[in-house]
Amino acid sequence: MVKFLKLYEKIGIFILIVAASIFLAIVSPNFRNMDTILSIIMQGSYGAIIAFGMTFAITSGGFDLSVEAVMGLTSVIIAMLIPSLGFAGSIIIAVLASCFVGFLNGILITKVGISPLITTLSMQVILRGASLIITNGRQVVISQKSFMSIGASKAFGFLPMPIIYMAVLFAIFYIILNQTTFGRHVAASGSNEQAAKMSGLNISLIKTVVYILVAFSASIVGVIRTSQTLIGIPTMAPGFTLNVLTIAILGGTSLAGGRGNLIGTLFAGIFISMIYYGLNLLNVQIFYQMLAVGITLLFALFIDGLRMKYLETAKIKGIRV
Amino acid sequence: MDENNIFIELKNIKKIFPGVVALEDVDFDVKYGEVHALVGENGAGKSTLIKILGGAYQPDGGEIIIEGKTANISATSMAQQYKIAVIYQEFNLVPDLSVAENIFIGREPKVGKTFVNWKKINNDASEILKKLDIEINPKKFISDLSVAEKQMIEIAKSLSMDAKLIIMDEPTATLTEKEVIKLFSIIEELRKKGVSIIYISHRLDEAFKLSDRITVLRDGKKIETKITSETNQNEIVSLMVGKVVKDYFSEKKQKTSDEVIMEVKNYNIADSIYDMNFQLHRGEILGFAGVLGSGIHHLLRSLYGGEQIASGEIYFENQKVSIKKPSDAIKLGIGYVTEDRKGEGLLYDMSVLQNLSIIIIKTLTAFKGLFIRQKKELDVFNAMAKELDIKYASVNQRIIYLSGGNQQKVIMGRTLVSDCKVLILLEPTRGIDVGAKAEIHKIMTALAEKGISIIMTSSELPELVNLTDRCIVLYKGKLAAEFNRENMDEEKLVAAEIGKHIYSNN
Repeated sequence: MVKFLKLYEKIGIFILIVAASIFLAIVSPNFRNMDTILSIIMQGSYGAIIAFGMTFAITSGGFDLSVEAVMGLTSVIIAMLIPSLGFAGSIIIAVLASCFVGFLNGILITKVGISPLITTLSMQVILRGASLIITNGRQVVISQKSFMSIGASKAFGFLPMPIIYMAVLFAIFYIILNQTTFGRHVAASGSNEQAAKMSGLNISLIKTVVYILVAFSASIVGVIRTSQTLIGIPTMAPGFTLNVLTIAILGGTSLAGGRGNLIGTLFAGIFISMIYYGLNLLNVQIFYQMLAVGITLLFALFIDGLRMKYLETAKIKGIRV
Repeated sequence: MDENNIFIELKNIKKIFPGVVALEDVDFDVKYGEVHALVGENGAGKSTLIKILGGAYQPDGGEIIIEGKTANISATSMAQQYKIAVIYQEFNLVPDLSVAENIFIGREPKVGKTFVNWKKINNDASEILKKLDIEINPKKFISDLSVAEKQMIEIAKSLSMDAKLIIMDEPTATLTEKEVIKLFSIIEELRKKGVSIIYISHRLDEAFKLSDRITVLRDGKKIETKITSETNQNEIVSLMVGKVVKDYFSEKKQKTSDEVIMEVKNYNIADSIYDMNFQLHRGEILGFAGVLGSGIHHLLRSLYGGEQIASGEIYFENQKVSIKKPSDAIKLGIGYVTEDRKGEGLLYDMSVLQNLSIIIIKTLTAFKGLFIRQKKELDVFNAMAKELDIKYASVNQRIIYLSGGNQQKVIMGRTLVSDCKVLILLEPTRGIDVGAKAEIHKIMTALAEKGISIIMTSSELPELVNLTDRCIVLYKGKLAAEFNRENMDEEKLVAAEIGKHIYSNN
């Protein structure tokens, strides 16, 4: 069992992707052309980008359930400000506001000592409410058509921009997690907070920065999605938080904290997108798609639970599986 | 049987753990209404013995006879049926339930079959508490009680089960003096009622005050059972210590310099350390000895910034300093190696390499502390691994897969690579085998010879006696005695640890 789990940790998500690809290639002739594949990757990029941030949060020993509301907040701020500030200004302000939300999450969790679950869930509701208040409950149409180029254009005539954003953010987050002292500190605080503290680390600061990173990544996706639709939507992407969590955990980042796997996250994002594509292909109703994501999350948690149990971290840390 | 009034008798009890004989042919008995004290150093086998009586362990040989019949205590629930109650140092109480609910947990009086009879449960509870002369409202929550009160509730709980034998493991370790007096009067009450008590304590004076007989364990063997009125504390201490094994210690050759590197003045920690003063010299190994509840661990933790409630002055290299958090201590050059490897030492999910470098990782970087220079990190690791002779399969191996001794070396190495001037070591050899112990001792001696000052504590007295230049004994948070290499031996340390000041140095 331990051997299987260790193997899964390394290559599990790739096996899933290969299996899904073979399946799709057989049932759908369309899958064999480049545009379809790029479109699947693009659809997966939204979840993957936020899951990069989520991977940091989980690695530090927490998680963030407020990401979809951060997307909504970003969306309405841009829509409201774009007529007066233009799109550079409105994007900067929306992203900064989102980072401030992450900062608040971090302070509440580390300094006030509220659990990440309650803090970020409350933040989710607060932001949703605030976004609806700002727009008076309406969706706000953006008239600057040129804003669309940010999320809906293609580089070199074939590569959708979101894929490029995903690649750039992946590189940045990967380097931060694996090559910098900050990344090391994040893993240490999630691995054993007390030991990290006794090693002289400033846990509050580290975790606060982590929650800022999550909110930042959610905000970027908020910008992309808003640009694609040209509408400021206060209730953007309902239920998307769960997708993001599923991607991070499925990618092999353990809920026990301490081990972040961004490569896994990247591919899990694409895998989830393949599931959606496959279900669409088979003409399955949208309700079943929700069902599928839920089952995938449970599956990922199941494997993670086995891992905690068998790799004995659970026992050492007193985590209930 | 009856003329001897024996409630329980153990014959030739044996318990073997992998690689260790924990108990060897132990005979032991307790009479009705007797207080029987069980004493011995750490690792003597006291805990194993009470766990066997409580049904937590099964003996590998021997016989247990309860009220004349052979008994098989195969589970903790069986102990209850035999009317044996064990009060461990860690209480078995549910913090979010009331006193009454805890006393009757699992045996609540019911209305019909489903509903708890609240009136009866509260009345019954207050009756039991009254019998013991304990003034606690049975409706109070356990989480609102003090340690002493919780302990009384444990006793009340045992009584409500009609326990005929109550085993108390270090009951006074965390109590104040007033609470101890209260506990003693309760024990006196129980004795009058015919309840037998096995009393385990590091504090010999308590054993003498309370007990009818005293049994001494050492290295898993019963040394002797003495009638309390026919023996004295000196005899018991020498029975406890026995012969000293000196072989595996490496002697420190060099003399300590007179230069004071660190000085602690008028140091207080709420409820655990009172008015502490001491100096630490360059290259000195300073030991701290004391039993559970002496406050040593609080003191040493707080010198590293691990606790924030201390008051007093600390001077480091003649500068007054303030150590509020571990990073303050690290900056000064104070290192700390925890006794709680699992709780605050190991970064489980991380590799051997990452575990070793966590404190100094900021210095192994390019671009102003941002990017880790992997090669430099590896060099530091390799040098330290060689120096400490750490055995590992690969640098990327997760630390939890290493043996206890090698884990300990990595944790020590983590502190050593930071070039500290003062090293605080708590139980440096706990839970590791004899070979690795000797290695750790050798490392410590070598460090001291290099001019690093070491503050250490250990519950293994031979370690203190043989390694330290000087040893300070704490008793209930106060400095009780101080010994130097020439006048220190185990007997004196034990005596001072348990509150006998007769051997004091000055």
